[in-house]
Amino acid sequence: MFAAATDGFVTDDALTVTPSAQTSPKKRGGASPWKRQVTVFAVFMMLMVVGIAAGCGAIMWHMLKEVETSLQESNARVQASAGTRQTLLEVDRLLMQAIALTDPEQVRAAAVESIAAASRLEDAVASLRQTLPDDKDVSEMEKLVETVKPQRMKVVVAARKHDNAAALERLAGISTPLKRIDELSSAIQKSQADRQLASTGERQEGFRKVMQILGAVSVGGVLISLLFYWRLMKRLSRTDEVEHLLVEVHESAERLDADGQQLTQINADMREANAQLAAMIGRFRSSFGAMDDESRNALVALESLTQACQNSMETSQKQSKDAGVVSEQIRTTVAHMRGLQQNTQALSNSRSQITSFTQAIEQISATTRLLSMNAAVEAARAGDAGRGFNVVAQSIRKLSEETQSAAVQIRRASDDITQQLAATQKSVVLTRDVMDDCAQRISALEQSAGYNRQLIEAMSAKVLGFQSAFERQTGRVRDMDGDIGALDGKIQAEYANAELLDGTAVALTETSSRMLRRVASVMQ
Amino acid sequence: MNHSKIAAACLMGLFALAGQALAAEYTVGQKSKAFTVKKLSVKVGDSVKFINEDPFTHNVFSLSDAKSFDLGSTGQGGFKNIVFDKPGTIEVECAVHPEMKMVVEVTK
Repeated sequence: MFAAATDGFVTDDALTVTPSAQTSPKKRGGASPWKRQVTVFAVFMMLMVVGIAAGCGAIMWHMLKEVETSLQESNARVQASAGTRQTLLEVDRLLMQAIALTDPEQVRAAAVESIAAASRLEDAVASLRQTLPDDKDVSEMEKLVETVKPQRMKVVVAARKHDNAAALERLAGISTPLKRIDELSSAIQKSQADRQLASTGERQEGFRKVMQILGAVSVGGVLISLLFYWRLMKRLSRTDEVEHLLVEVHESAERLDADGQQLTQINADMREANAQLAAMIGRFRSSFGAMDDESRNALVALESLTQACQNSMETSQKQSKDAGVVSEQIRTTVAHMRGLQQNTQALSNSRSQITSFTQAIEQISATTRLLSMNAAVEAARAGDAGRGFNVVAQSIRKLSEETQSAAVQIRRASDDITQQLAATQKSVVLTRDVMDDCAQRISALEQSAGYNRQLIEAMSAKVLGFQSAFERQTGRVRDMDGDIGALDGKIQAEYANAELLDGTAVALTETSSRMLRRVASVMQ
Repeated sequence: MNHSKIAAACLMGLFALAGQALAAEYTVGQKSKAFTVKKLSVKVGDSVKFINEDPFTHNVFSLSDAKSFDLGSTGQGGFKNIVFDKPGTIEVECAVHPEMKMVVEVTK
């Protein structure tokens, strides 16, 4: 019902109000075309009446203007002609008066008056010339006036000299041209009168034609009005249908009003919801912005961690390699220590042999000493014969003593060697033990470095995986930010649509109110 | 005899032409129902040009014994000329406006 109520007022795409649709006669019933026809007819009739009146007024004004102009021109010509004839008579009369008078002053006054009258005659002829510029009679009159002028002055001069005979003779001489001027003026007057009569007949004919046109137009207007009246009566015979239609329109307008108010309320709720949604989107965008910044920082930290793992792995590999080298060196050292121990053991055996040799030497020395002593005893017994032997015995005893001393020194040296060998053996044993311990520790360290390297490799792989996962997560956050931006744009568009909808609702309400008022006024 | 008459006529004509060539032309206006010059002295053979400077018609005439003439009516801006060929005092008037008068003294 709502869509049906707003149909024709709101477009599908922009929800814009189309005022033309409100007044479009094509979307109303059949009354609007009829109303338009009535309006067009009324306007046509008014325009026709005004046009006819204006046209007739213009024609009448033009004709009256022509009449006025013609009358003015004709009057001017008639007046000029009459003035000519009148001044002509005055000139003749004043000249006669100048001849008849005897008083010089009176004669002069009459002469001056005749000159003034002749001047007015010239003016009258000049007026005729202005109104009839190409008239031959006027040209002839001008020539006659100029011809008469010297003769007229001769009449005046003769009159002032009281030479009446000459004056009368001169006056008789100009009487013919003066008479001709009078005849020409009379002819002009007559022709102007005839022309006025003719123009009066023409004007009457023109007025009669105008009246005929007015009558014809009036008959046409009456016929058109009767035709329209017939159509109007035919149309008004459907009044019941129109009243039913008005009732339906009234009910539709009421529903339209209610729908418009409901639409206004819905639009207000929607605008409020849009406002809240826009606020949430604003917060979302702020949070997504912060998340994006944090993600960038985390990615930088992960890259640093990955680099650290890589460096640590390389360090572990190097340490493991160095531990292997050191372990190999320790094993070589232990092997050398074992050799040294064997050599020391061999040296100890040699030292035992030296001790045995020393004991043998000491035994030999003791035996030798005993022998020397026995020899000395025997030499003493032999007396002088034994003196030489005694010397040998003494030398042997000395040798025995020196041997004994050497044996003692050898023993001492042997003892020193024994002590040093014992210390050396002990040091070798201790060193071997330490080396074994070192080898074990190095081996453990090597194993530990290998384990650490494996752990770092695993950790590096996990960090790389985490980094790629985090980058994907960051990408998703950006995508969500873009989606939120698009959603924000949609909401802004919804704002605009809501405003348009609001305007539509207001226009709908106003339209329904106007429709209600108009229907109520029509139904009264 | 005839030749002498022809020669005399030619001589007179030459004198007349010389006189016209030496003649002066004076101008007198008619303004505010009065002549702009009240008295004018001219030589015989000089001409006077009367110009109507009023918005209505004037007339110029004279009934003097020295020279009687009627130049007729003159409209606004119009003018009439007259040559004074005899010596004497000439009173010039306007027939339309009797108060308009002036004197032209013509000397040899």
